[in-house]
Amino acid sequence: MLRRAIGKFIRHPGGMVGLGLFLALVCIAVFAPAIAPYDPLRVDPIAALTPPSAEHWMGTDTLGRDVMSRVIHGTRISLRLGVISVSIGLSLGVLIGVLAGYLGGRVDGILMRFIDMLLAFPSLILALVAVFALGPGLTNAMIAVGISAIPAFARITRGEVLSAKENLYVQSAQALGGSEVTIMVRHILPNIIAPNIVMGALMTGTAILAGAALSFLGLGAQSPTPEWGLMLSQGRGFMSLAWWLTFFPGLGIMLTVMAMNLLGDGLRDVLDPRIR
Amino acid sequence: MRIARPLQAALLGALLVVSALAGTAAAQNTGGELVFGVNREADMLDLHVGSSRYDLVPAAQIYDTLLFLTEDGEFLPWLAEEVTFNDDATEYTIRLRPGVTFHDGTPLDAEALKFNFDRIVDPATMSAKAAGEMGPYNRTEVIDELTVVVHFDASYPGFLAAISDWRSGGPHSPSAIQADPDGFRFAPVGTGPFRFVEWVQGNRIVLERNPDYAWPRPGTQNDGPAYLDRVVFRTIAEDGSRVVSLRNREIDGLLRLPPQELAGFEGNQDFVVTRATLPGSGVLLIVNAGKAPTNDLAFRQALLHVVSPDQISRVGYFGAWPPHRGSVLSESNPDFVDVSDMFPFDPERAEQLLDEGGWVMGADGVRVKDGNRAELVYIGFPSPETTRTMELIQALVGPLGIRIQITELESGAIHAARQAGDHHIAHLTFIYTDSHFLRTLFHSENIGRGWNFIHKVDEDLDALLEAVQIEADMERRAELAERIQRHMLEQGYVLPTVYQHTINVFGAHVNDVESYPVYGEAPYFYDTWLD
Repeated sequence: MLRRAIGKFIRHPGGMVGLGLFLALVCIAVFAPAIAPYDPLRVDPIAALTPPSAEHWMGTDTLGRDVMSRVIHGTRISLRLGVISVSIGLSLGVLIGVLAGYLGGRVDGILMRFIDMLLAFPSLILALVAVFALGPGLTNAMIAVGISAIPAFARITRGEVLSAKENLYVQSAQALGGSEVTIMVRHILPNIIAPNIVMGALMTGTAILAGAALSFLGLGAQSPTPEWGLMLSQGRGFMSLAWWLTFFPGLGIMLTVMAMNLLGDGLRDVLDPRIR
Repeated sequence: MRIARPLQAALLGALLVVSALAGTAAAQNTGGELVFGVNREADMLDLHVGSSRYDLVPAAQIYDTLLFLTEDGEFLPWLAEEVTFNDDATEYTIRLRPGVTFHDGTPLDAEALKFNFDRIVDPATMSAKAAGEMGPYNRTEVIDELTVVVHFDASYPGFLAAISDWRSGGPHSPSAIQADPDGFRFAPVGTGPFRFVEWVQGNRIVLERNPDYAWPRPGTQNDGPAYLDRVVFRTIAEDGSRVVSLRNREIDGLLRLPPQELAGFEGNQDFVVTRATLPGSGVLLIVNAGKAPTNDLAFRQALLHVVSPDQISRVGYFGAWPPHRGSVLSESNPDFVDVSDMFPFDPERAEQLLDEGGWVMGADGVRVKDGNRAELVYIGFPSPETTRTMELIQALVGPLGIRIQITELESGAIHAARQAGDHHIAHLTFIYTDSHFLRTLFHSENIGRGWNFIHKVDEDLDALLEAVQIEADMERRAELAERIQRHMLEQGYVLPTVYQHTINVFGAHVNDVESYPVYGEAPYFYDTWLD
């Protein structure tokens, strides 16, 4: 079955483009110190606001720092932010979803009203509230974005659990006297992984965008961290004077989010049983 | 009792200016609406209560002041026809100009003035700034319909400057305040050339010409009602949008041009640029001497040798805001002293100071002394200029083994954090003309609850600050102020960066915009007319 899924994914052009872009970004992130031509924090006031040139391919910023080196190092931060915050959202969301779906009754009622409450707020507003409570900073931004991703994972998991619960193999496990934890972990969890992987890929793009938005608002990464959202924010007063300050970090965000969305779409087409 | 001498000389000068220009007044177009884009909305227009500098931008058109302070430090009569004081500056006699009325028709008389002073110092008013300007105020005694004597508990030479400021010297209408004390904040009534029409929160404040106006400020060309029908202060917070709005003629002028845009406007015939250095502290970085590692004198002095105002002006402000040459007073303050030779930019000397002071470079490139790592927290406002400044300083101190974490907070949070002493370095700007105000900022009585962010009790400094507040002899005062300025730098309590500078731009069709020579930020639209 896995081989068939891989085969199907390989024939999915959008998914392959997304995967290719994603792998390229991962390589850039891993080898950033080797690829970046300069130290991303090196200040050189004399070279401030140099347009793109042979020496500085993406120009320099107001402090003379090399924009290309900062964009390359920014890939690390953005991918890390995306992966960590989605991991937070996924693990807590799946936990809530499995408990609510499997146990049902009052537990389901309480947990799902809590999720409904979180869903009532747009995810960026939720992240803003969380970061206000936790204080600005990259780590807190990751937690905040992670919290804002919980409802999506919880709802999808609960739905899958509700349908999995009706399967014969679960009912047999129950009849054989398996403990609820064992049933949840061994029988239910493996069956709800696929939709969560798809959701995780799609949410990574959203999370990167939300993290950049928080940094843009001054609530995420702090200076002098080479974070794309922060670079956009600092460059926005120079749009007419130095376009390269916003263009390249913007391009970075766009490509990463596009990669994650294409990858997520591809995975959905391959893994979603309704489409399959 | 003696008469404030500059008043007499200046009165004559002002009369000459007015009469010389009176003949040109007929050429001005009357009518029209001027839209002025501001980066931040006023907090409130009850100046007895509020403290935001952005309040003054519309308020300067709504209120007049008792005296007018010129760039040369002269106090000219305006709503006060004459101000005299006794030898030890504990009693001031103010004689008001006759015939002045508030926008609601209430006459400006001795009782109205007494009401204003008493209200400012009343604790129930909860004045954030004006009460500080009233110094050791005791009471106001009404002598006749237009004369009052203001009594102080101690010598208070700063009172002339105080009544040249709109906060304590710009009369507010007593009848309007009594009718609705809280509502007055958003519906002010003064005596100025424009009266309040409406305030759409977050969008605009609209003023219209006061048709009864006949008590012009000294030195203006006009002597009757203003030429413009209306003035609209439109809030456009985003710097880029404000600039685009001006270029597209959606607004006629803007407050606070971002420094990087200056080159595009200066010398451009379609626009007029006005620039002014504001009085007060300038843009200072206050060093917390109450906790490690900045409680170490050698450490603070080392910082002074690397934090270069010249580089900060060039990198942080694109050269548009001039480098600070003093310590806690700007060039435009009367008692300013150039102390830039005390701690010249010298990274080698900084390194030597740290080595001699026992700060040993650790394996991770951060210096350590007695278990304290040279890691500093900076707390400031989120402004592109100060962020650039701090990033530059981070880069300058990095090779010396010092790390700085930049934390940018909004006004409420920043003030609480600075008062609590969460910082090692904190951002501070304050506008004031008279040296007596230094006590408000740096006396140890203001640690934890006021504006002292040094967090260290320095008895020598306290004594100097107390002395300067009550010294009536101007020469002696200047000497005291110089000692304070040198002491602040010697002790490394402040890292001066640039003078506070304001750059306003108007379309070329806007004529005769004046700015207050001393409180330079607020343009004054009394003489202004449109092509």
